[in-house]
Amino acid sequence: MESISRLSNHLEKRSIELKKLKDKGIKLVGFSGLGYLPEEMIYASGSVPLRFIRGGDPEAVAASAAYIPRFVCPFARSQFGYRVLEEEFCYQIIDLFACAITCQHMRRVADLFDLYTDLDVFRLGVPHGYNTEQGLKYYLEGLHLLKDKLERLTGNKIKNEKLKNAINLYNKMRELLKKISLMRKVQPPLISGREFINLNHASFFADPTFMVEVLESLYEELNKKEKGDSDSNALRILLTGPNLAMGDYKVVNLTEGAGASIVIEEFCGGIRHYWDNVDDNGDLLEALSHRYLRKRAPCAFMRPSKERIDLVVKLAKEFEVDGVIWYQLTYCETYDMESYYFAEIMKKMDMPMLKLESEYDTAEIEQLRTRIETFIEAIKRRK
Amino acid sequence: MYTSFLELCGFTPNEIRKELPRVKKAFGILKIEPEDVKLAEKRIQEIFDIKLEGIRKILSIWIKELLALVLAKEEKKKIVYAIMPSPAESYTAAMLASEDLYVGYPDYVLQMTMGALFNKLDPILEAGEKMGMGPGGAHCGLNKTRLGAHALGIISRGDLSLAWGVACDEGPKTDELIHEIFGMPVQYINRSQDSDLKEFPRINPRALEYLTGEIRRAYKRFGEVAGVKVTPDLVMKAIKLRTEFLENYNLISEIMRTDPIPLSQADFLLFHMITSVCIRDNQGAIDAARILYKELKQRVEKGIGVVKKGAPRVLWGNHTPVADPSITKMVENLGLAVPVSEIHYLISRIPTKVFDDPIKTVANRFFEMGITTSVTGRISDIINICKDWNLDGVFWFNHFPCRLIGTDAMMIKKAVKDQLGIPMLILEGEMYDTRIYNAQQMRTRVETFAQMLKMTKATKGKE
Repeated sequence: MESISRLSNHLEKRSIELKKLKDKGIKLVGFSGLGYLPEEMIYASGSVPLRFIRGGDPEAVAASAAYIPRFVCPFARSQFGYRVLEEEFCYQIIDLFACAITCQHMRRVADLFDLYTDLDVFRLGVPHGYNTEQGLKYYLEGLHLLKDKLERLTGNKIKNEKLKNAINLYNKMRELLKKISLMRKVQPPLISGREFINLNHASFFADPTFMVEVLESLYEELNKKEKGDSDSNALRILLTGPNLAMGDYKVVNLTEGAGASIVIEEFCGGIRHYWDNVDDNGDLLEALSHRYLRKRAPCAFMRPSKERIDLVVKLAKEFEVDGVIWYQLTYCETYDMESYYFAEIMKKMDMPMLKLESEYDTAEIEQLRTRIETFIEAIKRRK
Repeated sequence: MYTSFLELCGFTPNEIRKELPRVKKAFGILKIEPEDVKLAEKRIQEIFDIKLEGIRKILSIWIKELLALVLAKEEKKKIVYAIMPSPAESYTAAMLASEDLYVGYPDYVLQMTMGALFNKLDPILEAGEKMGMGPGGAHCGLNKTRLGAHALGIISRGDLSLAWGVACDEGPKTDELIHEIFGMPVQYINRSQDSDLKEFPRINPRALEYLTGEIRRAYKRFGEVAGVKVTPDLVMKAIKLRTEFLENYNLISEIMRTDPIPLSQADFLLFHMITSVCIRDNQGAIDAARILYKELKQRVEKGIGVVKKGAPRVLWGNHTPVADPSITKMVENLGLAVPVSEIHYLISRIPTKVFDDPIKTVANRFFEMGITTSVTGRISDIINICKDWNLDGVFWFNHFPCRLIGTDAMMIKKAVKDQLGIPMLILEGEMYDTRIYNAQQMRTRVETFAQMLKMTKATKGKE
């Protein structure tokens, strides 16, 4: 597809482009990868938002070992590991690290950057009482503090108009991602799970205006694409869990490599949430706080988080999936516990479910392959 | 059978007469057989310094807490559960609201009794593991205990859990799991752990206001469920009760500065844990502390200690294991004096700031501890303790499944080395589970560390 090639070309040159921007005095802001920090605000400040979503590499986990015990989730450990390795452009070039304090693991990421680097670290408090007035108020105050921080960093005022434009731009991006994602409702899906996830991940690194253009043209291209055989027997899988990092593709590849399609995914971190948009009327920071804290599905560390489970169930029905893969990272305590009653719900729905876990270790791959292939075989037989 | 056990645990003959039927009933629910009681008697005599009346008295408080917990439903109480980490006075105030209520920390009570005294925790932990806190997931034994106790029916379904999610994510998640499986209603008390590293010891007014509001919200829900209100007067009363206990507790804490130290941390733990929970017999605990203080004063006068005079003195990072006090004994037997354990020393500080709103005082006290505020706050507290107590090293018992207290050890070790130049041993362990970590396995590393400290101390003495 032409749009995908254009995007690849853009991403290839993006690092050089970012370096040029930095040389011109434009600030680059790294921010944590669980989707609780509105990047619209960073964009509106005239700086470049770069979301930290890399993961899946054992080297980054190993590099963090001298700083943090292994009982922190590998995604969190990797975030500091990439900085230590000095191999990842984004983790080195930033002027500020804005970290949403979502869980104990991400809290430690902020601590590591604060204690062991000379980077400026901003912590955005994410109250776990996401559905309370108190929680919303606290989060909104945090957004005001973030605004002040960004204005001081860049020397630019985040004016209402600028913020509104940024919101509209990202709303457009989310809308397009949603439209493209929904194209997986048909059988066979018009875009594979891996392709869509790549697209989603790219949206954090590409220039947002360019990304919107690419998504628009891709949507058109996909619309014109010839529909496949609707009687296709390819299995439809829902993938869910705490984090689907950029680079952590083994479960996705193994699943699709075994002949199934990932037709929908729901993750706390690593990917962009596109179901809901930001209201661009009224107080914009309030609108952002509603969208980012309350409207999105609550991660497992939120209390209560049942609303997200309900969403996954709804998605499983709407996308007519044949099975669910729960992919979690080791030592993510809240997701691990939630998987227990999630499995009960799946059982009641008579929905096959496979629970997988990873510590970003390459040695896991063959074991994962066997389990995924067996799971898919079992569903096929039952069909 | 039960009589000798209860005598050993400091019950008076009157108390034994009164409590025996309850003991039989509770032990039946807990599946404590006569053989278990015999073994517990032996274990208690091996581990605890039961020559001390203060120790026996505090044991009786823990047994009474076990009875109150297990029999709460049968005794027609409304049940409100508490979880850690949280300021105990916030729950004590709720407990004081009515005699028809049971308010307490089920996991701590079971750890102190079924764990430390009876060594019968494993079935409870295993039951928790079968219900969503599987082995290998680095889940905390304390939370497994709470979940497992529900699963086994050892404790009744609560009418409400007031789940503090202020410093730990897994604790409230456990209660969410209990809610999903057993239907227990839960009211969460939240906060965001976004303290800036430069903040401590200043307390962020936003955070304080948020937590104060959350406690108030929890009390509102409590009122709806329990039918009684937690008034500011009750909160004030709870703070006073706790302060009175702490004043006596702190006398014992101070006497631990003497060389040789007169009490093992394994024994002191029985008092430490009282600072962290709400109990029914507050006066009994205060009396026990007073008795123990007098007994220890006599030991000091006679120069009696549990470790040789001049032994290297270390800070016990986090706190000593609850389920298996023999680990603490092992460290002391290898010649390390442990005058102070970090968490309980910090918990036992009396609030320095008192507000007109007592709820705000409770919230504020929580933030006065570095450990619940930020890593730099924790480092600052540790450095101050080491300096104040003139310590030779830090023995860090890293409670690995805790993302709050078990994930910053390397950061602390670096600070201790840079700022104090004293060594710190990090030993991975589990405070609430004896199955994976034990004294025998840890012994070699502690022995080497102790040797190094002794050598350093001897060299310093020569200089």
